[in-house]
Amino acid sequence: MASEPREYLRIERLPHVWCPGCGHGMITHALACAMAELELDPKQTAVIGGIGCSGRTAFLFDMDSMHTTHGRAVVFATGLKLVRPALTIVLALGDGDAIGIGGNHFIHACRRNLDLTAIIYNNAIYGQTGGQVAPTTPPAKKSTTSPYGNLEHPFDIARLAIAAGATYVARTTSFDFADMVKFIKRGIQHKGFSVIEVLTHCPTYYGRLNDLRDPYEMLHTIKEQTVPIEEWDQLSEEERAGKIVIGELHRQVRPEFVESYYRLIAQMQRLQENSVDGH
Amino acid sequence: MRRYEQGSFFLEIEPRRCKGCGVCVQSCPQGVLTLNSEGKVEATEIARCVFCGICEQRCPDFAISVHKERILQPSLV
Repeated sequence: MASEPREYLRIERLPHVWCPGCGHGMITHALACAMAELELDPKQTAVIGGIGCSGRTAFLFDMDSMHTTHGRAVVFATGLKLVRPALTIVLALGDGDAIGIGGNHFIHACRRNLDLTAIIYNNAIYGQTGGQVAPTTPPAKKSTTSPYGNLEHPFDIARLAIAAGATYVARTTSFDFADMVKFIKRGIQHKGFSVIEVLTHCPTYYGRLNDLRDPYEMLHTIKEQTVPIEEWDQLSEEERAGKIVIGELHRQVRPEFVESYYRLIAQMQRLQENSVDGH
Repeated sequence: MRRYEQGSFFLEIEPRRCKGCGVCVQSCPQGVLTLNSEGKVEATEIARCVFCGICEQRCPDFAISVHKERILQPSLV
């Protein structure tokens, strides 16, 4: 057991590879704090990452971790959870990893409602590969592959997760450290598929191409675009334009897949034993 | 590791991890922190520090740690 956030990290691997001022470090810190507050046993916890800047999170945790193929972190986690149901599994996914390349796996994990916690580091761009346009890049924003502004409509990850059937969905920003810790904790405690979307900043690509080179300025710009869910309901349609709702957006109780699966196996075994006795 | 004390409370800064992004310097409500000529953070005005811990929370590189007696639960600070 460890109770200090730093005890969950491979401190000797610091400094990490993320750029100066990157929000991914802040989210990783919040995850370590959430683990410490829940006093999770590192031997019974695993962190799984995919490809992208966010995939580096898995290296930093001093526990079992997997660095998987692009978009398939959810798939590896599904397998691990089914084999070792007692493990607490946290997924560190990027926006491209979760809903770009791994979009199909992501929606089906939401639908199945496995007891996993997915933290989505949404920086609205493909940072590691050179700042290409992502399915989360806001309209008219520049990237290296949309130098005149993005023409596509972006995904709303939290709403997608709710529609696909995730049973705990929260959204926050890398500005709100206490909220990140609180939602990650609740996500881990929740029995079912939890999605915590964190709107974060990429000063190196997104910032440089969109006149927000300073990480602190960018942190504030993201925060200013958001409205807490408590205030959201009182806003008119016009006031909501260009704003993003943050907070605990969805919570639902639905049978969890792994539990149902093991219950079915036990049921079938009993049935078989009874029929053997009967003959 | 550099240590800056104010009574029994102290800040620890690991210059090897600091990348000089300046987020902590701009976040500090008391103006305690500055970047030195090497681009690393230093607590030049430690006497003004109120140990709110925002620099530790905002630092993406785990370079700063704020040590004080835990009066409140970490989640409430």
